Amino acid sequence: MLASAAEGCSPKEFLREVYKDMSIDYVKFHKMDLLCKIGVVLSDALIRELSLDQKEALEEMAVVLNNSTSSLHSDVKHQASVEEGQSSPAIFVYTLPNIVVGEICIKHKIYGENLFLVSDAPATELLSDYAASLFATGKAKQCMVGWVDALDDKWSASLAIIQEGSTENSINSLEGIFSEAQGVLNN
Amino acid sequence: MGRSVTFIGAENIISPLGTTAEENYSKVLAGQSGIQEGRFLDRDGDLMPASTFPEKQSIHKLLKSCIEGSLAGLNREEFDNGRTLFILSSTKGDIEKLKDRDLPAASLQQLADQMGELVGAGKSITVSQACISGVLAMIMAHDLVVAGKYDSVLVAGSDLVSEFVHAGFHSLFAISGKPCRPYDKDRNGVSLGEAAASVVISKNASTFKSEPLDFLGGTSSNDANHISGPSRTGEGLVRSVTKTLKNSGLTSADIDFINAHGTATTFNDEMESIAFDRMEMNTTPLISLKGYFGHTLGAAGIIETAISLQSLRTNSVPVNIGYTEEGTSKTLNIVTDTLEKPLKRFLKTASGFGGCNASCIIQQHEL
Repeated sequence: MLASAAEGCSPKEFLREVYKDMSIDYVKFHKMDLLCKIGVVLSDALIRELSLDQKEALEEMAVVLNNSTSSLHSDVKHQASVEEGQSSPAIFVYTLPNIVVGEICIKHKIYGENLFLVSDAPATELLSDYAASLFATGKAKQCMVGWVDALDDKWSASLAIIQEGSTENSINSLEGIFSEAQGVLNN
Repeated sequence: MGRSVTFIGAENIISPLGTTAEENYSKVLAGQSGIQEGRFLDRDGDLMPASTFPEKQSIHKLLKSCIEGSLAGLNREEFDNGRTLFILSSTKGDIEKLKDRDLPAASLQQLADQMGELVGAGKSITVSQACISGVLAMIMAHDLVVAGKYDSVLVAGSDLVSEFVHAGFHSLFAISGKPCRPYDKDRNGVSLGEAAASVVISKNASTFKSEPLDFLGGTSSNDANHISGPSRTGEGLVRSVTKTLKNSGLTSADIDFINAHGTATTFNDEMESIAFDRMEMNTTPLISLKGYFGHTLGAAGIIETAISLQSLRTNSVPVNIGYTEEGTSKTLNIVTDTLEKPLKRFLKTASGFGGCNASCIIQQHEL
């Protein structure tokens, strides 16, 4: 299963459209930084498509995400506010890339394994190996895996939920998932 | 699932207290702290306590020296077999580069790639998961080695004390005006620290020049509660420790001591006391090492594990510096006199922003 969104429209336009179309209606959404908003919208789309059994097992789902720019989108804003002598918790709390994992877990009451990786391009093989090891060690039965990258108006995101034992859990299918995704810092 | 074992060793630490794991440990046992008053000048013109080097450091050079120390502890023909991974654990990397708006230079992966080359690793990656980065990077290394994907993984962590981080914690009222006092009644927030630390996790004990210890791996769990405050019930920490014990085939009674997170913020330390109380681990000797090194963020999990590896090697547990009087709603068995007794194993825990928690277990070789 896959939700993805590539370049073509500005992140703000995309989020405004999708937030409305999906009737997300989540007050906390409006406080989030760009990275978290993208992650929350895409993960919502995926979770809605899960079967009833899979939804019931959501509590134990692993969330493993990856990008190239870490939290630089919010880091730049925080740095500017520090230089102005006005640093604000509302920005600072988003200066870690794993906050998007936390926002997804909070919204859906997910208590499972967490991991955030940073790499220039999608770390397809490592993500696939890690998800497989989570299944093999019994740490998870389903794993949200994906790429969420955003910096200014450049962004790129692809997310999927893979199930233990599903044929989707292979490097090839993850490569398909990530074919649209790329690092936004250097392009 | 049954217990899975890898080997952990070749630990190294470069901190204001010393340039090897052994030197750092001897300073810790002697009760010396790297945190000094008046080390960091903040924007308000206040001098704040921190554990900083006398000279401004380059994170590249710091990591490089640290990694070279770990590499010196390895049998290189075993380690350099082309099946190695390098994992960088860092929250902010070279964040000072943002002052010049040099975004590529501030990129975490650029730093990881340079260090991966030094290690001669086939692949390099960065784990950036707030304050649990170090513990989680070691768990990931273990899982990938157990799965047969790599034979050895070098995990190195570092963060520097920066205006960026200091101002952020300050805006959350989370910086202590005095050196931090984990779990104490008068604790009033964190002291920041800077350091680098590294360990090697391998499939073979023969990768190491001196005897490694057994790594039983670990788990993570989210509180699903709040992005910048810990759960009031310690839910994620309880879940992680429970899973880690179960996967290792152990119970809380099998743990000789806990190397906990203990940042010295009111909420974190209180949350930990509730979590360990729920797991009936109130009597297990417990320490936080933040009073010696400050909160070193991405390095914290590795530096603190490296210190407790020394504890297993020398059968001693240092005191929780800064603690004099109980300051949590649930009683913990905080170490106030150096413990000297045969030690089998310890539990390492960490909790961080984004509601994440992680734990892992390390024990004497071939118990």
